[in-house]
Amino acid sequence: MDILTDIALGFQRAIAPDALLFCFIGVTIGTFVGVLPGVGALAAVSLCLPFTYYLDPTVALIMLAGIFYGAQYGGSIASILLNVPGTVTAAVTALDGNPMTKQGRAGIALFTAMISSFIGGSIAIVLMMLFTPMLAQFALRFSSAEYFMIMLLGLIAASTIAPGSRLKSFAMMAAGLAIGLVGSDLNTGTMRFTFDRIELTDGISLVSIAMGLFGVAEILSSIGGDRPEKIDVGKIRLKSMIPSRAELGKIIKPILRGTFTGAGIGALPGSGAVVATFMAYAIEKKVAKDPSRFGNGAIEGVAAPEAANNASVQTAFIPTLSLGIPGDALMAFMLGAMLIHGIVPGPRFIIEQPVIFWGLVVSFWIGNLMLLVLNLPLIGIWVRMLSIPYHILYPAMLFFIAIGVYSVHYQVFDIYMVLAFGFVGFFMNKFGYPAAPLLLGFILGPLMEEHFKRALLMSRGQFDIFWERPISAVFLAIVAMLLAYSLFSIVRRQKNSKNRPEA
Amino acid sequence: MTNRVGKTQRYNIWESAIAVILALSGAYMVWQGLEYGFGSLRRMGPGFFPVTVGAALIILALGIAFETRSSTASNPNLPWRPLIAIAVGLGAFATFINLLGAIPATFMLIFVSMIGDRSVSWKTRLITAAGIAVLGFLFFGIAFRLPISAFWW
Repeated sequence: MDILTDIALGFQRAIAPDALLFCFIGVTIGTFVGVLPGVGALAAVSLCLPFTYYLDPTVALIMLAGIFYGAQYGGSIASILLNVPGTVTAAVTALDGNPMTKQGRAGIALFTAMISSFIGGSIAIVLMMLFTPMLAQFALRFSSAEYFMIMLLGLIAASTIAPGSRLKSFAMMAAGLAIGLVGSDLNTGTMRFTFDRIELTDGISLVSIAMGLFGVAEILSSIGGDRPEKIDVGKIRLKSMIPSRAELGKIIKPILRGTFTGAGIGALPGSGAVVATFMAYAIEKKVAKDPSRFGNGAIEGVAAPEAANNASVQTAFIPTLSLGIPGDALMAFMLGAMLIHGIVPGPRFIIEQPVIFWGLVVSFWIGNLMLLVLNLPLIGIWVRMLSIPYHILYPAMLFFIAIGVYSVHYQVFDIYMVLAFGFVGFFMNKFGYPAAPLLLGFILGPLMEEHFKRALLMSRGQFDIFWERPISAVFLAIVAMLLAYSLFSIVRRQKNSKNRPEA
Repeated sequence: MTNRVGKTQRYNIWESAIAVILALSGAYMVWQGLEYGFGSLRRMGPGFFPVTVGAALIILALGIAFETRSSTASNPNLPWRPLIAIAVGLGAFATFINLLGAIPATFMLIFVSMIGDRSVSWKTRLITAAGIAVLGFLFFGIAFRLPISAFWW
């Protein structure tokens, strides 16, 4: 079979010493930031991106991706043991994982989380191997009209799904598109919104935006906040982690349900790991014979969401790699990172650069295996990481941010940019403006403009092209539906606002 | 999002101010976009997208202004101390990285931004700042070989 030779090719790349080393570094950093509350995966990846410029692109991507899924593993540790979720998705795990700890079943909860993540990730990787090339094959027929529409769909979907005010999400999406315009226009070379600064000729850098919005803003909101004080979780021995046969039997089905929920949702545009995780938990609660156990240490409540979040993180790469359409902010950042490394994800990517694609996919599996094998015995070390006081952690992060962004172009200007975006991000947090649509808009904006212009050039200025081509028409219909739904919910929100506290 | 809920609904100046800023940015984009050249649908000028996005921003800002016209959210308690400390710290790093070198710039960044957390003692601030400055330079300047110099000489 063709796919087997491809996988073999990927294995060859992924088990090369440099790939293994950076995969290891990536998943280690990922677990580390996942464990630490107040340091998100996106902040960590944007911190590391500048230092991957000198690496081979494949290796760089392997490492950056490792941080993403590593963070999913790490996030569950802190939420199970201390009820302080290091990541948003881990908040769901905390619902039942932490009660398990209080009942003295921390070891089993941790083991369940790890094995569920591993199984979820592994199945999702197989799905990814099957579906990414298929989708890419299908997408080869796409013209600019389809590309524009699917990107618009991705943007609208992401803004619709974001919690809070729809209007605010849409406004942030527009703001992202606006920020993406800064720099010289591709077709004419006209300088747009550069305010006569040479530093802005190439646009605002992805690194400054991501570090500002997700790094500095997070620090600003966290200083002086409540932190877990002393940590005493007792000793967790490897022996106490092995679940009984009955418990194993109990988690297999939830893991599978969680995996397929997560894999399905992860691959959709606009919905990331967060939606997948909450959905998986809700489904478990629905199918359970006794839903009241949930929240009181139900093992299924750990297994299914953990499988789902890891599965969705892996399948989120399907649209990103095959179509070049990121589903959420994390994937948008990944797409941006790939572009910086000179890789253009899309249907041609898999055909033209099979080594990078298959190497990356196989490395996911190796990384997941590393996480499983390393994390179980090393849990003690990760727990100790939690006792690093925040007043040491945040200055260190600021240093990494400053030196990282400075080292991209050795421009002082970029440091001020990070600071500015940090303040913007801080106020966005305060007033319920989500940052994810902004990042998505920033990354997709330039691509959308390009495809929009090309589509209308093809159609000689007629908008018909968007509904006369069947695939584009389907996307357009979904966009219209999402917009109608948003409008409906905005109006409903207005009606209810009288008796509901507004943030 | 985590604001405390006030007792009465009242006009919220912060929410409105943000909506106004968004609307003004949109207006600026439309204006500048028209300067760049709107072009025609068949041949779009560099101003086409700015005008479209700017217009969308204005409409959305108006919607937000309407939605938040009376909000029960109280104005946020701004954490002035960390905000100022981090702004000054990063500013100092940006100003002095080329003038004084990486070690003094890092020291200032860490020291100043740690003032943002009032629970930390001066001694801790001093030691942490010195430690990160030296270790950071060893790591990035020596091991990673970034072209940065330790001091001004």
